[in-house]
Amino acid sequence: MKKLIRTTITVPEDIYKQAKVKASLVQESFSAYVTEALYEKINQIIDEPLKKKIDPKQTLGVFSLGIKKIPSRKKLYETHLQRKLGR
Amino acid sequence: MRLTFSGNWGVDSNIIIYALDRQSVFFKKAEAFFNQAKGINFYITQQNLVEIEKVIIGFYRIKKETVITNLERFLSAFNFSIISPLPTTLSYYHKLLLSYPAKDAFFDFYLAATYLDNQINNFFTVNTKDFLTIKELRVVNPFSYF
Repeated sequence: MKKLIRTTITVPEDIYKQAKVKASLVQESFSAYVTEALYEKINQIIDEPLKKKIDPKQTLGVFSLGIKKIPSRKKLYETHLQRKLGR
Repeated sequence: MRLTFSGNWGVDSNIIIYALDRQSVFFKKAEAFFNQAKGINFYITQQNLVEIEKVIIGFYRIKKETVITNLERFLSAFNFSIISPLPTTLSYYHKLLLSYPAKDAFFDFYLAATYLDNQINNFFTVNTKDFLTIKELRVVNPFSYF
């Protein structure tokens, strides 16, 4: 078993709350969740130079649809619900 | 114009759709917004992704695989975090529904509850009027800055 250490860190409240929620969602202790996140971060930094980063600009305007107005959320869902309910 | 927003922001489906469609009426504004959005951590709900796919695949008959691939590339390139409703989101949604008088705003309220329950209190959308009643959420139309 690896040697464990206890430490104190200062983090923004919103990050702390989000991490607590995510940890409970995956049924992990907060310590296990933070350890896993740190492990991933450390390995990501090591792997990063090998990864080809996508140029964000290249991902914009990929479709040519000519959309003028997007239906409201209410309409998007209600059309579906009406069909499902046979109205 | 230089954007001064920072921190964690949710993004509505309409903004993403306009950013992906180079012939949309708002494409230039969407492009300018994303190109200038430094220091903003973007968040999007799973519901929004379904809505985007519904519009592009369902209404414009673009191949599913093409839409999914391009949407994933876009989200990855701009470092979006995808969030989902939590076990507590339903009660948050009910709280909003009972607190505000808006009629027929069920789906907007559930979306707002998903962001708020995930500690995301800022929201970019073109349809600001749909969310302005919700005091807990700071709502901004980023296109109004371009």
